[in-house]
Amino acid sequence: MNASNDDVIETRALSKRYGRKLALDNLDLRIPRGRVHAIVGANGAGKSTLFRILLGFMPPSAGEARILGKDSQQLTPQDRARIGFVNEEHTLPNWMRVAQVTAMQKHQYARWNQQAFDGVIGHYHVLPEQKVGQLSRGERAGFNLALALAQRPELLVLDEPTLGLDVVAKRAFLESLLYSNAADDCTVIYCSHQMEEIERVADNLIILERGQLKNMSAPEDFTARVSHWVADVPFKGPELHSVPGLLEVQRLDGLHHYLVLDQDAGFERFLRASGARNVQSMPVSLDRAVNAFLAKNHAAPAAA
Amino acid sequence: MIDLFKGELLRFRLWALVAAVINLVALGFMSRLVDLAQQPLVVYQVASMVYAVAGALLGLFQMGSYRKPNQWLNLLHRPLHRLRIAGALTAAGVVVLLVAVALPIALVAVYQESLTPRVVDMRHWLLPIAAWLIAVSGYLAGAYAMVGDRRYAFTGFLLPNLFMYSQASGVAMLGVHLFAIAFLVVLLAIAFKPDPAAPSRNPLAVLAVALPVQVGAYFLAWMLGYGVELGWTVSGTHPLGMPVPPKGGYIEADRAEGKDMLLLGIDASRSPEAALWREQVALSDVHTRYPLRNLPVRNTLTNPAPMEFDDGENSVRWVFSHDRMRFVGYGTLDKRARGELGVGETRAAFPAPTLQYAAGFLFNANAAYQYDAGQQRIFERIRLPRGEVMASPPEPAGDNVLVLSDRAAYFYPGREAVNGLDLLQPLLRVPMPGHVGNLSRVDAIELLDGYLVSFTYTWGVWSGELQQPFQQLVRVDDAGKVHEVARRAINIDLPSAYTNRNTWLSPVIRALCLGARNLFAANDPLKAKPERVPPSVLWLAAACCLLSLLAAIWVSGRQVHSTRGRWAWVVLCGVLGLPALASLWLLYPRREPLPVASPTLA
Repeated sequence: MNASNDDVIETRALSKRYGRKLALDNLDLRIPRGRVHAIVGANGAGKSTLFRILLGFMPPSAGEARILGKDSQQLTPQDRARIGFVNEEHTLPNWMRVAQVTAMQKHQYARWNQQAFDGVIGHYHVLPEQKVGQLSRGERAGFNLALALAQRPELLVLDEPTLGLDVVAKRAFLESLLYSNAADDCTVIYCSHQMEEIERVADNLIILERGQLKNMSAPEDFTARVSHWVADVPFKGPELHSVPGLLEVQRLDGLHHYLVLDQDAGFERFLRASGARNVQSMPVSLDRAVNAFLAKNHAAPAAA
Repeated sequence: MIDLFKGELLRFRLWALVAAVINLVALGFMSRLVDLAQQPLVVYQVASMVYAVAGALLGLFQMGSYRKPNQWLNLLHRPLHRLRIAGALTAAGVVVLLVAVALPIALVAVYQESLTPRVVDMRHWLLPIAAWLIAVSGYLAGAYAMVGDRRYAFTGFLLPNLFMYSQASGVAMLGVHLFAIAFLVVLLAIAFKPDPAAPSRNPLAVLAVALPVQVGAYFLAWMLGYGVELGWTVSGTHPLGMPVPPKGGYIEADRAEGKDMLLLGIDASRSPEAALWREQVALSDVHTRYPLRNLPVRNTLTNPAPMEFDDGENSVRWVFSHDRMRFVGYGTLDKRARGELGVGETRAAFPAPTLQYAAGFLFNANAAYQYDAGQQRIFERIRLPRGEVMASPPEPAGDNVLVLSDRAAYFYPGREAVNGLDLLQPLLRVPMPGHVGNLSRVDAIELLDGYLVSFTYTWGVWSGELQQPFQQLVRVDDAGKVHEVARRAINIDLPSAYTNRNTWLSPVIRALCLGARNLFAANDPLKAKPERVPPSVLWLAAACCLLSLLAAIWVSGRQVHSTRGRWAWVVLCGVLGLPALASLWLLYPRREPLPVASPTLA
């Protein structure tokens, strides 16, 4: 596989199987250098598995994975210096003081950017003499982000970094990320279930479902693919299997609400042909569009 | 690396200090009650186990805290080589154990040396190092068990177990500790990588990982053999459970009283005097001796038994010093030094570490002595011929005194032994018909014109080390002439396939285990080499190896191997047998079926 210098992540027919379960299914993914790329997917969609393979912590069952142009299974310490990683647990040594952890990271990363560290940590009331174990969850997240950005990575992977944070802490985290110049210098992979965060930070939306790539586009482009139709249809309305691009249907106050994918004005004709007296179309939020998309194939009991 | 090391030290500093204080208090308390330098072997074994377990718990906890996926990723995803990270963590663990284990022992040794009259030899100064190395080996085994693949990494715990079976002593034992540590370091270094479950591509690394797994499988299969014994016991067919043991067998010989043992020997004799001997056995006292299995070795770290004796008359305790090769005395009441005791008037150094034994004798590998409290002197009473070592110290046998060396039984004049302090000359010498390492007992009665002596060789019969147990009865006359009276073969009582399962399971691994047991060990004249197993056992072993080879072809076909690697495993299974097959199955998971390409919606 020829690595393109413009791609920070490149996978080809990447698969990973756990026993009978397929976590990644022939995944072909190319993430270009620069900007913020959001990866979303339901739990079990294969996001964590993808990161573990990309960082060389798990071998693929089949296919290839490259990160910053290197085979992910052959990463050297120098390659790792170019990749920052922040996970949702913000795993840091609880027994050490903030200053000690900072000094340790500073020694290990030759391209340490003190300005970037100060810029991020300034958003939090974190004292150097504080023990990491004494920091609040939000402060830990901010400290972790400051450490990651100060490493001056070419690629920064944020794996659900705001999971479990309260609203204030989430906002502080996002602001410290958005207003950091260091973040501008690297490609950010932002993995989250929080669509308002994605909407705010992401330039590119990648949707994974059951280990397969389902979408890769700007968030607004994806939102544009999903449309919300309200139809006044007497009785049951059309058979669901006959509704094109159907993601979700609800009946509220006698009106049928359809969320559909990739449908244009032809859908109105379909609804009218199905007996609809009034049809209205309206835009949807990214949150609703993604949730409907992901919920479409959600596993359910056979009898449901 | 140094930052990680310091960080890890910081993490465990309080634990180390608390453990060190607990250790110091426990040892200090015990040293107020007893002389910790003069304890029997079992005390040191228990202490070693405690230190090994403490080390293992540290390794399990430390590495366990990093082994969760996110922690592992956070630890290893940094611009440091994986081995430098591993080095930083383990170096911190090793320093923690130095503080918690070695330092308190060294402090107690300093206390005994400076504030008590007790003997502290160079070997005792090695005890903190030995304890530390044992704890480190436990720590590394725990660390490897946690870092490595859960399916087999626990087999690293077999390496510290080697210390229980090792025949080495003194500094050589430290060599065994270092060997185990080096092996565990290699195992940990192989496993300490982003994906610890990924099999290594280096054939030597694969062998290193596989070996403990194979030895573990070998021991497990061997232990399962006891399940067979359990079945025999439940069905009431186990010879050990029978009220009357099988006739002519090992159990009968093991349980027999001295008289019965002699009668069993006489029954196999065609001598016309047999009837007379039977009557004499019925009327005589039988003197039974069981040979020693170990002798004290100079500068050994532990003691087979406390190396001291008390002179109650003068209220002095005499403690043997390996450094001075003399006894060093101190008052039991005033705890003040009482000088040194050597051999004879000149107080010459003993040729070997010397122990007290029953019947008022002291003994070492070469000679036996008696202490005279009136003169406060030790006199040499019995000296074995050059090249022979003591197998049973002197004890009365009728009018005389019986001594066993590794090659012969000696009778010394009893009256002179009691009435004098001179060196005794043997009256009779009865050569042993077999190796003392297989000798389980000697039974003798005094005849009017000599002795009737039975040698029974059954030691090691159920571990497959002795294949042809036997009893030999000899008569030695007053002139010292030895006449063979009878020799009978003794049955093993259990099937050969059972007692020799340690061979047919894998002859190569058995040889490796025996080699490990004797690693750095000096030749021990009291130990016999294992005898060759019967051809039927070798055929069974060959069949198992062939079966393993064929099974390896099938098993490896369902796993991911290079062509060369696969056939190397097949050959290895053919050579090592079933344990290698078990390791092949454990080391390599089944090949994951490749997914079929499915269409995407994007």
